[in-house]
Amino acid sequence: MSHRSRNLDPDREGTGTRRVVRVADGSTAQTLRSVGEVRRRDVTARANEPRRSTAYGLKRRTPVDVHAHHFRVGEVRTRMWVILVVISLCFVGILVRVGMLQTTQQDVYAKFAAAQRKRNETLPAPRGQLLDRNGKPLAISVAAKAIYADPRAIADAGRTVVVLGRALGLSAERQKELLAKLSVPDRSFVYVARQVEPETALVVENLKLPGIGTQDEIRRHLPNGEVGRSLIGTANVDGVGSAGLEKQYDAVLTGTPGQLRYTRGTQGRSLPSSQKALIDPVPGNDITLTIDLALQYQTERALIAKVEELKARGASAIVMDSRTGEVYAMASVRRDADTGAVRVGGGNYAAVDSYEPGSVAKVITVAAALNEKKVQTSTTFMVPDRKMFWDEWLHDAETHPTMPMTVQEILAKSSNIGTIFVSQTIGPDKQEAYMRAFGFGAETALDFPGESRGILHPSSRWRGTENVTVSYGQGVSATAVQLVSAVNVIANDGVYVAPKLVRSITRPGGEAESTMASASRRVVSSDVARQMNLLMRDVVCVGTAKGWAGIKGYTIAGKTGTGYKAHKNGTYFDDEGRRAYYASFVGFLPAEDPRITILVSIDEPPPNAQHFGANTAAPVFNKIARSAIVDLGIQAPTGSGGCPSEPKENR
Amino acid sequence: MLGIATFQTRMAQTQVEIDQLQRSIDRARATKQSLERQRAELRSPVRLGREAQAMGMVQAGTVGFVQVDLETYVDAIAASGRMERDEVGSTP
Repeated sequence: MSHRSRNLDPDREGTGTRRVVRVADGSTAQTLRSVGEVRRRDVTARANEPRRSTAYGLKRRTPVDVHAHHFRVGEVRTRMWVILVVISLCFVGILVRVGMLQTTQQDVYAKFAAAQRKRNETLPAPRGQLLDRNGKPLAISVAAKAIYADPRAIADAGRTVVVLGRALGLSAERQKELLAKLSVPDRSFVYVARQVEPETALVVENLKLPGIGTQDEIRRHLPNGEVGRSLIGTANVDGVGSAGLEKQYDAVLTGTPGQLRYTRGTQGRSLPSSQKALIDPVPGNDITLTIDLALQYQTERALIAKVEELKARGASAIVMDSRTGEVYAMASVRRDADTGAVRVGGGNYAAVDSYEPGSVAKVITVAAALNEKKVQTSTTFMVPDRKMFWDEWLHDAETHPTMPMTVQEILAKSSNIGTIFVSQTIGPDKQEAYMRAFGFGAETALDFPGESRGILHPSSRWRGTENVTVSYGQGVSATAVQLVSAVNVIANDGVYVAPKLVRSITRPGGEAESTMASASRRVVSSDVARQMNLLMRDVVCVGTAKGWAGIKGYTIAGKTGTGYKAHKNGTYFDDEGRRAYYASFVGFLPAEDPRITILVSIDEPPPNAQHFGANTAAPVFNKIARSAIVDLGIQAPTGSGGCPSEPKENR
Repeated sequence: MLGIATFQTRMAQTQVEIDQLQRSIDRARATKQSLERQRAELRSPVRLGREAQAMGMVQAGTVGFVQVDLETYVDAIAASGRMERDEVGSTP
């Protein structure tokens, strides 16, 4: 590239009016027309000279001829060249960059591009259903939607919140909370609402609010409302079991999420010819329980009615198949401490709460003594109504003179002192051994979340009156499940059968696989079980439950129990010196060939005359037994006629 | 070129149809679930009890059982049309 000098050297070629200006390389650049023009060129030349300082050290402003630029031809060309070079360099740079992108960095950017176009969508898997023994749904999964927001894409958060609030029925407080979340800078995801009905979500989708989207979810639904809730438990919004059977069988109920992969266009639609890869979600397994929905409902209703009537704290009931251990109904209701309303409790108190069973435990003591052949049903003891043991007076529930009582009468009249005498024939070690054999002190096979094992200390640690009170159910605690299973030993011919809640498990599209039969073990001989069966019929016909539990045409065997409730201060009295009770009744029917065993426990009946197992729990037993007879089609054996003299109908 | 363009257009059209069908399947599946839920709620003893109570019905008292001879049972079942008489006879 040639270079032209910036310093012009006017070369006079004549004295006339025309002058020729030559540039440094000697070529003639332009012809000037007048002296004035030459002067102007001179001025311009001076302007290019270094500036001189004034007397004060300041630089003098040199006048510049603005028109002089028109004549700097060489300078313009230089600039053009510079621009050309710069553009060329940029172009070369772009070419190099493109080359790099297409070669060395190709993989990286191909992945970025694919990530923008490819969509991976997780398809939620429906959670398995919980069904009753007849296939009626107890807990099902239904489609739901989650509504979310991307605050970065929302221009007017205030207006968006108002519109969403109206569509979703959000409270003012919730709207305020949501607005605060949407106003947090750089936040990219906020849940607006979860587990929303699909129809409601569709309304929101149609609003086409910027930054608001929806995604699929699965919601757990109990079609029968509160029925069985204490047993079923709950699954949280993420579909994870958090209580009850939902928690216990979470792994069985949880399905495998699916996946959908596709390439989407600008509108979010899948592109033609793009490969769709779909992995179908696999639903969880269905679990068929042993529960009978209708009987569960009737049981809960009966409990709620009685707790409301008595103004008690709560109640539990279990209906169990005497032979198989299958649980037909397991209900727990409790009074809400704030509202006072009685409803199906959130917790399965029949399995997680243990309490001192009171006289129901006498069944174990008498059966143990009979099995050890230390007594017979006709063995007689002289029984006072009160007696001192370890410096403490223990007494029967009702006063009576010291009188001879057979073992049969001791059980029928539920004498504490008489039962102590019976237990003393076998001693504390045997007493403990039999209580364990009947299932006390260990969790049942239900393995329910949070299930209590109750309290049964080794007999070597029994202190003072504990050595004798355990025989009638004080100083020992058991859950309702343990208690009904223990008494069921008598109904089941002396064999303990573990309670069972799951009947079968069905894999998606597969056959139902029945669960194993409940484990069983012999506890007392068949003969002792038969004798106890007869003794327990007396309890209903002539004993403490007379007139409360009987059903015309059916022979019922049972036992009442009223246990003191231990308080937090370690005594049986609260801070105001009052007692609280657990009133129970356990029975089975038809006694000649038992089909069902039922336990009812009332938690804290009023501490007046209405706190006994007979007048609080036995009537509920009666009600539930009637429902069970209808629902399960329990027919009394031919010739069964209840008690020798039929008890009057339940009041 | 025209053939390729036509082919591409046809593919795009088919893809749109597939997407629409997929959405229809999703909607039908949601409807099925919704109907199943409604059925379960309608069959719930809670609702049945409430409806029965509203109609003035009360819970049954003591239940009685009657012995029915096999012939009468077979005739009754066969008359209901649920099973053929021969089939009923073969049931235990």
